[in-house]
Formats: sequence, structure tokens, C-alpha cells
Amino acid sequence: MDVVQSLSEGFSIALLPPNLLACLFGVLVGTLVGILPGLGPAATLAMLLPLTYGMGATTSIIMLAGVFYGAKYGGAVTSILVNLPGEPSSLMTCIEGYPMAKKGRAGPALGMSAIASFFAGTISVVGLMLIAPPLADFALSFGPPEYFALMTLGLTLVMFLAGRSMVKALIMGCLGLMLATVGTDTVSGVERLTFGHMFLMSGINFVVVAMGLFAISEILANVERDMEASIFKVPKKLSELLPSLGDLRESVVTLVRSTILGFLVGTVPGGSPAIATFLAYGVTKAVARDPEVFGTGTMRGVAAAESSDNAAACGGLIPLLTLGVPGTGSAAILLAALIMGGLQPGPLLMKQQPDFFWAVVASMYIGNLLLLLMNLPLVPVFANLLRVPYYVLYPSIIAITSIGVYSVNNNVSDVWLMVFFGAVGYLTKKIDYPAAPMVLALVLGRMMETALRQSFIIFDGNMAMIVQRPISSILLGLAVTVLTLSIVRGLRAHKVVFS
Amino acid sequence: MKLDRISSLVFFLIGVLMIRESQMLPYMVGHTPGPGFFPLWLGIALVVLSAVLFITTRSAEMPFLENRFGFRKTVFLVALLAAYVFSLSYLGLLLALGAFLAILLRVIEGKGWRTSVSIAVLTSVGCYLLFEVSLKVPLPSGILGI
Repeated sequence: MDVVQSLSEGFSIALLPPNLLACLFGVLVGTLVGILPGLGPAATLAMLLPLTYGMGATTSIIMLAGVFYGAKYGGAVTSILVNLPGEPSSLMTCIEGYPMAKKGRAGPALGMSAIASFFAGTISVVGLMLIAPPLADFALSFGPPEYFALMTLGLTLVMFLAGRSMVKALIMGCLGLMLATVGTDTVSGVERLTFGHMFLMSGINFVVVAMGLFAISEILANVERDMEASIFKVPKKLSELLPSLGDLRESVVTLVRSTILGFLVGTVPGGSPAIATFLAYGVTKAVARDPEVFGTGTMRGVAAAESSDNAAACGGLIPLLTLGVPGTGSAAILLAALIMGGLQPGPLLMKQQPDFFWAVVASMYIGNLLLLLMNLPLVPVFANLLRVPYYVLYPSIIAITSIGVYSVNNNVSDVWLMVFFGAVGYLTKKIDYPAAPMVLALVLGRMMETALRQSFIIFDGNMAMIVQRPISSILLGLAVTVLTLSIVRGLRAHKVVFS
Repeated sequence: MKLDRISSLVFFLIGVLMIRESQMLPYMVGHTPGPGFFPLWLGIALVVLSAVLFITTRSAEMPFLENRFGFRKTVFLVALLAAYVFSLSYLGLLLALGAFLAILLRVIEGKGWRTSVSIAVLTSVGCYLLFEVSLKVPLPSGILGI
């Protein structure tokens, strides 16, 4: 078969020592970058770009792509161990993985995230190989109405993250959307809710809110509870340090579904992998027989979050490789590397430079395998980090988060905001308001509003035309269904309370 | 203290403020929603939701201050954090972080001076070396230039 032959040729190129070394270097750096908060993969790629000047297109893309998906593996580590989401796409891993760590199952959670990432990465590469061009066409048919519908679906699925109170989750979601409106309006250029502060003009950054709302508030809550020594139960036996066969078995369906979902959503340019994780997690929770356990630390939640994240990252490469359209910031840097390497990105890249394309594809297999082999043995090491006495751990977390947040804009005001949100998060935790919907709404809010207004402009005010577009009508229909189901469920719960 | 009711009132107020803010922005621009559109509806939604919360709340007393001593620790930590952030522009990261950590460990965690200072110095110097020197990530520098 043509594909098999091309792929084996690709492997022969990818396994050449310079390329193999580049891959190894890339995934190592990527994992480190994922672990350090505030230092996102896009920024790292930009820093490494000059290193690739002499390398030739194939080698440089292999290295940079390694950083790209290596960061996904690393991001899960801090999310699970200390509730620190490095990127929006790590949020779901925080929500499911950190409770697992608190229950003493940090090892299995870390192991599952490595396995899920490997599974998703490998399967997605297969998808990349086989159905890239038609998928790219599908992705390009996404216009503002489709984006809006997709985000609305994501937002309604967020309501499924409601703990006990639907209303409280909705309130937090509202607040998140309000936070998203702070700054310079993208459509009209008007300043909103900045109250004259210059640093708010570009809006409130996700990293700031997430660090504050998740990491800092957790620290404040733990300090109040007067944590002695190590607060997490650290398992001693090796068998408890990795996911059990039972865990793996119950997660298989979730893995497959989330990978496919993540891959498809990740292909859409401009949609961040975060949306893919929200959707995958939301769907997993929605179709589960026992949705109440989600949020308390379940394998399936971690599996869904991590596999969709990796699949979306890989899907994001599709518009780049098949059409020359970068879907995310990191993809744009890869595009620059491509051009610098003398290649012409575009629809003909696959045909004109099959060596390059198949070498990159082959190296992605290799990279994923390397990451799995690196990360699984490291799980006991990471899990034992929790043995460190809390009074050493949490000051370090404060130190690193303040640095990470500062490094986003080189602005101390961001650190202020982080402390503020830390206090807010602590208070809302005490009165049982879920923090997750706020952050999720913040991530989705800007894009959603922009997409909505752009749709209005396209339709010249006649929003009814949105149902004439198949993709957006399907997505909106799903969103309405989810919303109705959540409201019905919420009402039913209330009836039980009142009776 | 019916905490849920108090919080719903707070959010009600925020919603009203939001509506007021949105009035200063154009609601519609031609046929399309202007910058005031989303904020207005968000404010209305928040007002409605907080009203719903207020009405449906029959929660029992929520133990907010079950741990007086712990709560004081948290408040002090927040104050210390604020002081830390404030001092960043004057002292620079290295000194501010060191001071913050030392005070935190001594006062909040009650560790001895030797432990506090050594952990503080190790962590802040370590961070400085890792971020400023190796990764070349610019850190806040104070009056002394570090």
C-alpha cells in the first residue's frame, strides 16, 4: 500500500541520528516547559526557533513538534500534583486529576495521563496520515456561526460541571463571561470595564485567573486547615503507583471517544485545544452511568481530558501541514520554521515534499513512544514529590506561580490580580461555588462574543439564517439539548429538596 | 448567617453594576450587536440568577468560621502576599521573595529562624538562577537592580 511504503520511508528518515536526537531534545524540553507554569509552548517554540537555522526543515520541525506535544505530557504533571493548570487545556486534568492526588492516587493519575496521551497521540497521527486533506476541507468550512455554536456547546457542557447547585455554577459562568469582556473590544475597539487601568486594556489573562483561582486558593484553603507534613497519602507499593488493569479497562471507551472528538475539534483553526477538552470531558460525564463521581477524581475524567488534549494538538497540525494555515500560535511558529527551512507550505506540500511530510509523521510516532517511555518510569518520582513537607511545597508553588504569572506580560499588576483571584477562589470555595465554570467561561467568552457579533455582521442581522448552515445548526441543537437536560436535572434535584 | 443569601445579594449588586456599565456603551451598531450588548445581557442574567438563588436558598447555616485560628492564618497569608507583590517593584524578585518566604515560614508556619531563612534563601536563589540566569526570563527587578 502506498501509505505503508511512504510511512516506512518516513521512518527511515526519522530514525537517522540527527533527527532522532532532535526528537529527543524536543520532547525533553517540551516536558519541562509543560511542567513550568507560565512558560507556554508557543513562547518556547519562539525561543528555540533561532536554534533551527542551520538544521534543515525536517530536523527543525521534528524538534519543534516534539516540544509541542511534549508540553502536553508535562502539563498534566503540575495539574495533577498541585492543581496548577499550565494552559487552558490542562484545566480538566486539574479538575479530575488533583482530587485523585488528594486521595492518594497521584501515581495512577499520572500514569493514566501518560497512557492516554500516548494513545491519543498515536491514533491521531494515524488520522493525520490517512484523512488529513478531507479533514482540512471540513475544518475550513467553519465560519463565525460555527465557532459560536461550538463555543455555546462547550459552555453548556460546562454547566454539567455544576456541583450540587446549577444556579451557582451558572452565576460563576456569568462572572467568567463578564471577566472575558474586560479589555479592548475586538470588534469595535472600545475599552470595556478597564476603569482607566492600562494593564487591563488587553483583557484579563487566563494564566493569571487560573493560577489564582486554582493554585493559590487551594494553598489558602490548605493553610487554613493547618496541613501538617505531607497532606497527600503517598502509596508505598509499586502496584499502587500505576493505573490498574481495571482502570484501563473502564477507560477504553472514554479514550477512543475523547480522542476522536479531540482530534476533530482540534482540526478547526482558531479553536484552542481547550475547547476539545471541555467537550470531551463534558460528553464523558454526560453519558456516564454515574456522573456524580466526576469531579471527585475518576480515571475516566483524566483519560478524557488528556487524550482529547493530545488529539487536539495533533489535529491542530492538520491545517498547517495540508493547507499551510496555522490554527494556533504554536502552529504559526512551526509555519515560520517551515518557511525558514525552504519549504513552501500549502496544499501541495504533501505531494511535493513527501519525504518531509512522512518523516515528520514518523517522528511523531517516535516522539510519543519516547514520551511514554520517559514518563511512565518517572511517575513514582513525581508521585513522591508529594512526600515533601507541605510547608516547603507551598511556598515554592507561590514562588513559581508568581514568577510564571509575571512572565506573561512582565507586569506586576498581573501578580496582584493573581493574589486577588486567589482570595476570591478561596472565598467561593468556602461558600461552595464551583470555580471551574468561571475559568471556562473566561476562556470561551471572548471568542464566543466575537464569533456571535461576526455572525450578525455576516447575516446582516438576520440570525435565523444560522439554521441554514448544517454544522452550526447541529451544534446549536446539541447545545440546546444539553441545556434543557441540565435544567431538567437541576429542577428534579430541587423537587427532591423541597418535598 | 445565611451565606448563600448574602452572596446572592453581592452578585445581585454586581449584576446591577454591570448593567449600569453597559449603558455607557452602544447597544447596537447598525444591525449588529455593539460592545454594550453582551455586558447588558450578562448583567441581566446575573441579576436574575442571583434572585433565583436568593429565593431558592434554604440552606442550613454554613460553617464559615469553624476554624478561627486557621482562618487568621489565611488572612495573614493574604496580607503577606499583598505585601510581597507590593515590594516586588521596589526590592526585585530575589529580595522580595526571600523576605516573603522567610516571614511566611517563621510567622505562619512557626518554624525556627534557621529553617525559615535557609528555605527562603534556597528557594529564592534557586528560582533566580533557574529563571533569570538559565532561562533568561526577565524577573521583576528592584531599586538595587537585581
